[in-house]
Amino acid sequence: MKHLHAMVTTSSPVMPVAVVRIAMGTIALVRGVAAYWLLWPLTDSEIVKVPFVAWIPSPTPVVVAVVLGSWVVAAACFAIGFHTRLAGTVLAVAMALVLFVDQQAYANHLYLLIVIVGLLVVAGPAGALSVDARRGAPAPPANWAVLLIKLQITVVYLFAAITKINASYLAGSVLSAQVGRGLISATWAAQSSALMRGTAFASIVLEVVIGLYLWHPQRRYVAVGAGVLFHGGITLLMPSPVLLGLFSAIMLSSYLLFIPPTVKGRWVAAPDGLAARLRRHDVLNVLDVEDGVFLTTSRHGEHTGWAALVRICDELPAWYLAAPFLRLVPARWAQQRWLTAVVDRPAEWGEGVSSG
Amino acid sequence: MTWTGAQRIRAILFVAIAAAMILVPAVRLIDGGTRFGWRMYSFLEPLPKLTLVDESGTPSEIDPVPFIGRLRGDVPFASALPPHLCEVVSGTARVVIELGDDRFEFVCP
Repeated sequence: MKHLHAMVTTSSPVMPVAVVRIAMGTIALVRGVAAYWLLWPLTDSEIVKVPFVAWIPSPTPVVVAVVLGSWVVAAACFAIGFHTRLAGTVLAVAMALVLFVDQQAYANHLYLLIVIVGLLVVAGPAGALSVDARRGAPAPPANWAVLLIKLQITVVYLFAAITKINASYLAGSVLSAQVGRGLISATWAAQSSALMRGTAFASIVLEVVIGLYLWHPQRRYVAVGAGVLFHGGITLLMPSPVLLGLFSAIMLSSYLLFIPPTVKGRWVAAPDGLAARLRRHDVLNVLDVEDGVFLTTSRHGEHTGWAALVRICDELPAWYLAAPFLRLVPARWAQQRWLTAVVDRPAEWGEGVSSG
Repeated sequence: MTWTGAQRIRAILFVAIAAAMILVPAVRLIDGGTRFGWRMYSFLEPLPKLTLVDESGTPSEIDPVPFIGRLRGDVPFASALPPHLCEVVSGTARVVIELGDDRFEFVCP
């Protein structure tokens, strides 16, 4: 009960929620435009209608125009944070109408987007980077609603993994029917049953790893790296790259909510401007760094040099998607060379963790 | 630790939504349903093979895709398409549906 009480009385950091709101609004805007091509055929009398329940009326051109028009306008307002809660509510309702109008219009990523936008509205997503924030001081996001979004992300990954544990999927036949029909044509891969079986198994492992490790402070980068590989793979290799790309964007941008509030960094002696450059990328305001040669972070033990820089990149928007791969040896080797050249004091750049 | 009314409502909402997030896909997992269960790209559902039979008894196989708005494995096209085809393809008396090893007939009203 103590934890529950703390959860409903605390607020979440403003910036990550604001960035996720902009991401979701933009994704919803693109999805609203794409919905036209998916929904318009359903207004044709030649096309079969499969309503969820019989009393739901068939979509007419006027209804489609009104719903999609409201959707697009609300998505734009939500992204810029203009009457954010109203815009988010209208957006969620418009998307829900499309989701339920016909079984052919259902899509898991649309359902997920409705849940996330709805929870962002409840949380209060306009605390920063919004027109509303310029006009006043909206309350910071409610922690419990943000926690529910994070829980939803994990639930999606874990149930997606569990439902894949069936004979057809594990045999690779589901993947072989899909892989190679996307932006990258890889029919040779789809024809290799051993490769498809291995990929099927790996995809289940990846989904479980992502779903669980996002919550693990020291191993979150593993989840982020796995997520980039997984979502990049499905977007490039599977059919419907636009819709899969939107699903991937929803998931990858939600990872920002798992970044803890502040990382304390310290530079001792000055490599010119590196701390200042980091601060420019620090949209979430999670860094607290000073100029110096030794960079240390206090969140997960102390790190110096490149290792510390990588850990700081874990917390920066956009960079967090690349940071897991910066740990790979060639990139690390190249960056170490670059850093030592800039600083000209190679002996002071440590390799990694010094305490933890 | 004291609870205000608003805090109690938030706590109840949190528990209820969290439970729904987990229970809905769990139920869908048990009942084999697809929607709202995060069952994505995990199974293959073949399209039904459809044959229209006109009033003189002449059969003609048709491609169902032009009559479908959006092809999805979780949409029950085998039950939805026959009555629709009776309406939009004039002269149709019966629709024969083959789905895997199953074969059944729909007589147009």
